[in-house]
Amino acid sequence: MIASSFQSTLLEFKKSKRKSTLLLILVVILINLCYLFIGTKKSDIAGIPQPWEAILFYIPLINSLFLSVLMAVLASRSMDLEHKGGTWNLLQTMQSKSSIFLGKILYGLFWLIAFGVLEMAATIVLAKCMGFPELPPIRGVMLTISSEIIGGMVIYQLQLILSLCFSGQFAALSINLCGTLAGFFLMYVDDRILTPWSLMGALRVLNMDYQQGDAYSTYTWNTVPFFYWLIAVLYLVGTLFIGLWLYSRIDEGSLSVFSQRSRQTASVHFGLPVELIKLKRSPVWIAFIIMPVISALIGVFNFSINQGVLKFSWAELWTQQSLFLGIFFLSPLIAIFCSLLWRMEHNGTNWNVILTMESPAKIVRDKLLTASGISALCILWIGLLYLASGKIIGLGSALPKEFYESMLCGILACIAIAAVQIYLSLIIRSFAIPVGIALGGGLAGIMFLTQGWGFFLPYAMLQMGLRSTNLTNDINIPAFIAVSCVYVLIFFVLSVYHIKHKDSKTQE
Amino acid sequence: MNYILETNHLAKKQGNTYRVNDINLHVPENCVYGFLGPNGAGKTTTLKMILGLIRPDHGKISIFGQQVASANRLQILKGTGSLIENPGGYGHLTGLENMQIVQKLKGVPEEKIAHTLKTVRLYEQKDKKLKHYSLGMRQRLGIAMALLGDPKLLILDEPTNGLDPAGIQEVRELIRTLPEKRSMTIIVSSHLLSEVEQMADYVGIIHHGEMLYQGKLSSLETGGKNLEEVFLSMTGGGDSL
Repeated sequence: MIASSFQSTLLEFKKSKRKSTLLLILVVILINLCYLFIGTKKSDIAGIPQPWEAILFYIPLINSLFLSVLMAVLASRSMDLEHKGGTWNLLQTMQSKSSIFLGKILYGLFWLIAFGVLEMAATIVLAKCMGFPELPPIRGVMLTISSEIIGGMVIYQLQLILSLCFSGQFAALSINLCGTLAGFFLMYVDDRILTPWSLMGALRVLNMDYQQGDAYSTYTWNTVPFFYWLIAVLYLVGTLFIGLWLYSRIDEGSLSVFSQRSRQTASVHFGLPVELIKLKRSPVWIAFIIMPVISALIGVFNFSINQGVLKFSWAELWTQQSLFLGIFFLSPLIAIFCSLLWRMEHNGTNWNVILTMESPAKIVRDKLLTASGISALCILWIGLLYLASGKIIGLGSALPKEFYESMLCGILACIAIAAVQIYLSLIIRSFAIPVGIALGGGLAGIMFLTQGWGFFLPYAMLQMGLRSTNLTNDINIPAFIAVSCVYVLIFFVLSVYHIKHKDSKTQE
Repeated sequence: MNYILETNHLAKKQGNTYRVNDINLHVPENCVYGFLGPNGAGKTTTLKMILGLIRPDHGKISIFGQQVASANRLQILKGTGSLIENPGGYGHLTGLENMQIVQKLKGVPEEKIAHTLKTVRLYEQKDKKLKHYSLGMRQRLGIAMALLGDPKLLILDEPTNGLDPAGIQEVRELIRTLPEKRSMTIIVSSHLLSEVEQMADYVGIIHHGEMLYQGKLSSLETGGKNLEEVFLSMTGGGDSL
């Protein structure tokens, strides 16, 4: 058993050849380093009272977002290989189902440890180069890395289970992304909350005391209660055993519970456009509906319990509900959706079929309309939830009129992002890379906005348009409309050009 | 007679209807066994049950004289090689790398890879990525994966899918020589009657999930009728899925 799991781990490395996993990990580390160090000047270091403590405080925080996404992507990719290659029939005649699972687990564990160690090493080296005094306390470093490994592993195992249950990776990934969002949000509500997605935060070794007026926060070392470690280990062991159990029940490469649900078609007539027929039985709505709901619920909750600090106004509620959606979650969601739309064509020989039946412009137009439509609906849904929750908690009737502008600009920005992502997912056949670009784009958007270059990046336009930081910010609406149209036009033309001038590729 | 593979009242349900019902296969050693049936007759389902890829609802399977249970399944399958439905493989890896994965899982020496790839004439193409393989090349690689390690029992599900006439003939010749040269037993499922006629010693004919005939091909073809005529009269012609 152990020998065969070890062997299938080695094979996992072989299978992931040319998938540049190391590069992916380095990119995530780079993003984390940017987050930790950008804006810190060498000359300031001496003035910071607790520089290492600050670093060790923020690493688990940022990782509960980025490391979670990374681990989910790794797990989903490793399962996708098997679904896509149709290798279940072959593998199961040669190795036991549980050793396939354990092999994937050990593979994930290797990269997770590599990530933890590399990230910490890079952070320390960079910090020393910037003139940090002394070295960070060894115990803090070790505890931080181990909390990352436990938290990351829970997400990874969870994703392996999800990716087995749903062979479509969109559904599988978005459930975990919703969880990540919820976990990340909940940490702002209660920084020791124990969801599987916020373990890294719950197990962190430092507390922050933020006093208004002070230039710097103070950090205090904190002993994580035994109970927290216990729960974390329970999650770890629980997902491991549920996974083992489920994997031993694989039937023809999927779980029979999920695969035998086909409903009878009532009639051959189906009135919806082609693109929507293609989306049938692909549960795309899950993420677009659930993510705003999570965001709204947590926003309201946060708004209510922090009444000491926040003003009781529509504008403050809007900030609470939409800030993270605009920065971190909406663009990757649109990206996932666009990847999904093209993936159906990239798969198998579908390009041969559609290119002989439709013009490139029409293909791109339909994809763009679908992606724009669903993201516009999503923005309206966010708005509706905002209005409803505001009424429920009893906010007065003076809804700022800028809200409607924000809805409009949000939709426009989403359409611009959809156009960019449609192009990216068309030229990049990988599912995850365009999504990663969108996530990076969201982060870059913050910087672009602070520099006043909002119009130069569609992801920044989304944050600018939603006005999450301040609902009363001024937006140049005509310019906003014009720039959005320019983006849509450019990327539409690029996409059509790409289809026309590149040979169609089939298979895989 | 010595049977290398036997099934006993094998059945698989889908919903309330039987996909496969009461199948009693008897495959003698050192022969080519043609498993015939129209599309949708239950050939692949039966083969998958034999390999433990899906669970039978009733019935028993024994291979090499041992009854297959989940505890000894993989142990028994070590002596088999199989190609079921479409050939599997990882598109971003080369043919050779795909073979290496199978080689490690089967635990056979590395040197066997080159020999097996040469057998299916893919050795020159071994450094191409699988996604750049043609349908026929993928099929050959699938056969190579099954052949690797000289299994005693080879199970091939429509092995000539996607091959050109020369390729079909080549695979047919290969299959025909395996029982004698490497003392293998081969089960070949197919709906191509002429193909089976040219290589099988024994045939089993399955239709709507039930076995219609099993035995020597030669005793089926008595009375001057060829396999096609017998097959169509048994399965009622025209009525397939």
